[in-house]
Amino acid sequence: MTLSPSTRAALLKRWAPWILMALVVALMVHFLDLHTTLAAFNDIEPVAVALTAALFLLDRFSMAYKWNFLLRARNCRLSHWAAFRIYLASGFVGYVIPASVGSDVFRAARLSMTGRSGSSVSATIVLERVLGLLAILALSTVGLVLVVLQGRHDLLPLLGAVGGALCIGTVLTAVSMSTRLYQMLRRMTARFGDN
Amino acid sequence: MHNEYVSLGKGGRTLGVFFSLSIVNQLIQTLMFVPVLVSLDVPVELLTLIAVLPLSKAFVQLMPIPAGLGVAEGSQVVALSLAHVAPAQGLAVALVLRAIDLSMLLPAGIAYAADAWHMRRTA
Repeated sequence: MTLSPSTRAALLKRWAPWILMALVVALMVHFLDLHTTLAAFNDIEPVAVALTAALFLLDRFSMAYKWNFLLRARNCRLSHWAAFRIYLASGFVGYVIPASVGSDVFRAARLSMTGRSGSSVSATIVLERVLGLLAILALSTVGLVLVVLQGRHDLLPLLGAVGGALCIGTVLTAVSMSTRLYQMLRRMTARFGDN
Repeated sequence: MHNEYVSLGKGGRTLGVFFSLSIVNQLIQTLMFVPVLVSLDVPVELLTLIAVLPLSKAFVQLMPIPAGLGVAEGSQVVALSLAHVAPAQGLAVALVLRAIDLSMLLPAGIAYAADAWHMRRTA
């Protein structure tokens, strides 16, 4: 029995993430000393776990706070408590629904249901993702520069890759925020689409 | 939606503050590893952790795997090994963080139920 290309692509799309996950887990099991890992658990203090959990909640609050900051800039007023509650709930949905964007879709749908403009809310979520990625790259670039200057020359290739990604990301973000450049890019991609 | 996105992008101050908050958020996420590392008596190279741990998160975001299961742990082990944490200890740290992440499903589920109740009440 031969599968059509579209069926094959659909099957690959469905199973590729799980295959990748199984591969990474198999590699870790093969290369890491799991006995040492299990022994390390005995050394972990409950206070450390409690502190990490507290930082985890602080992280969720800070994420909700910065999303709410963007929402307020688009006149979608939410209390910080409501934003925190929706952000936590979206994390729950993100785990239950097997899709990486499940939590983002939940947040957009949740606020649209209460009369907020769907496009405004979606724009804040897209910008949150884009600037979040740029912040990661910027922080890592600065950190890597300092670490390399301290003598970790083995991290120089990583610094080059991250710095390059930051430059490309910044240019692409600037293009996406410029109406004229964005329209030009749309026309160009439409021409390729027609071909 | 693009018009809304462009309007947001024109707010220089808004973008600046949001970007700064994102940096603070990344620093908090990096600090989450420190108590467990200290507990394992691993020398903490904070600057290296700040430089490499956010990259593992970015990598996971690009992978189409639910909650980054497996891939998150693998990328954290690699990132921690760049900060001279032994891979076996790095895996222990990653698994503790995953356990905390999973335990947070309880407050997240409560928040979900509270939100659904709030929606029904205001409908």
